[in-house]
Amino acid sequence: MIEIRNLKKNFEGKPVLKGINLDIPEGKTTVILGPSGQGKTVLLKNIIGLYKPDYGKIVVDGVDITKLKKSQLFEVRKKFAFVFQGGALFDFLTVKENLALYLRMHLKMRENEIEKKVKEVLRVVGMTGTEDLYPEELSGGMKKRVAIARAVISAPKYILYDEPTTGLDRTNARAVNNLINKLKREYGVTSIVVTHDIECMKTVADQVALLKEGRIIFVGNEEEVEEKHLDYLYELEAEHAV
Amino acid sequence: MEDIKDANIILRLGSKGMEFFTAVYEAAVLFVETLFQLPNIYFYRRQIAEQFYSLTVTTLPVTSIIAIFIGLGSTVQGTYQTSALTPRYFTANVIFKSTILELTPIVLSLVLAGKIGGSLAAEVGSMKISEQIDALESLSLDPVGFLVMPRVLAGTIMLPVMTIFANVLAIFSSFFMSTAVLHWISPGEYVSGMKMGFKVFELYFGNLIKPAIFGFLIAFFGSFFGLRAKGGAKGVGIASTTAVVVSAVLIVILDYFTGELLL
Repeated sequence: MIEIRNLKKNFEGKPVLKGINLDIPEGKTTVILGPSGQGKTVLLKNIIGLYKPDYGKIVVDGVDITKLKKSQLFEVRKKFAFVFQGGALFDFLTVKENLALYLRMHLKMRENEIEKKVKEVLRVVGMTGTEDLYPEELSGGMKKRVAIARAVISAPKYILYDEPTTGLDRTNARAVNNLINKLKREYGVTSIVVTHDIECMKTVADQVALLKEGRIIFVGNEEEVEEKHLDYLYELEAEHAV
Repeated sequence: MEDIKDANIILRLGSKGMEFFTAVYEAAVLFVETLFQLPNIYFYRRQIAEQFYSLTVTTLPVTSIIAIFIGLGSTVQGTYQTSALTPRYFTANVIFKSTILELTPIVLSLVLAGKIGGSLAAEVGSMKISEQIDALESLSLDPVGFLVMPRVLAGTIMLPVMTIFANVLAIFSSFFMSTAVLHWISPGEYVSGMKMGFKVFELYFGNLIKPAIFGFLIAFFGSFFGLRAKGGAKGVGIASTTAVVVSAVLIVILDYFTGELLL
């Protein structure tokens, strides 16, 4: 379980997060929905400790990660995986090497075990046969799926997705959404998805948090959002269409 | 109006000064963090081995060309500047010492500052702007341990190795030019010129100490400015240029100070 309490973060004196309060339930997918530039990615990077908040607490399984030293934070991060907006695959490594990195560095797996595990995870994300390709040889949708495979391979408890469907066509976006659901179903992962894509929210969300101007203005399920904040969804859809 | 202009200039100078001191502080922090990563050499052995390989393979051709022509150029200059009254072995001595102590280490380091320093900054900088550095951290891998320490270690160790290789090539090419092409000195005289006033420390100084310092500077500032890159391609370009300029200037300054202090 992740509890976020009164989280504040400024950049060069400009407040981006103005006191976020949110609980992330285990085994569910929480979607943080909001337009661009509202601090969604900043919130996600605070949760995994890539940014240090100016104020507030982030409690992961009972541990306040804002108070941890670097080495302790690295240990907590092993519970997490992060799917970056652009994939952030290491461009000097092949798909296989990208996936093998965590296994090799932290789990000290043997090469034959690594090979087996990489093949298995690539099959799950529908990318069999791409082991020897470099990230530059992959399309946007393929990069996202490999990035998800890299996230899954470490068997994390939490997966954080930063705009998983941005820049993808409908077919690829649907495939990525289905993959998020599949991982929750098959591996029981707790997911946090930040997005401005309403379709993505409708497909994957168990819990929705609406982010506006650095604050969570509503938390509920999809039906409640549609019932109480339809205008917000219309605004978002209009901005997304532009 | 003049007062406002003056105030603006002072403010700009102040902000540039702050930027400079912030950069110095950040470089000092990165230096300490790099030192703290040294016990993790075994953990990052694969990355270190890759850096050693890549530094050697990519720089070997350019090192060979530079070394051969340093030897040839210094020989031509040496013989041209020598009068009929100067003993020839003395000229050979000047060529030998100036090559191993000064010419090869500094020319090679400056060229490699452009080649290695620039490409390191561009490589790390593009990783920074495409969130690959964040991705490393999210995988519980320290970017200083994974990227900076292997590069700095490889630079500090490989530049002396490349300098030794370059010095051997340079001296051979000078020897060949002097004895077989220009015929201005006999092989025996050339060798006795090399032996004249020979001090072992000079070999360490020219081949190990100076290149190790220069190699460290090149790799460290390449990584440092790469990690500070922001924005897009322009930011990477700025990081790359700054890394080359800063390491080249520091190489020239430290070349003087190491000579002054150690010789």
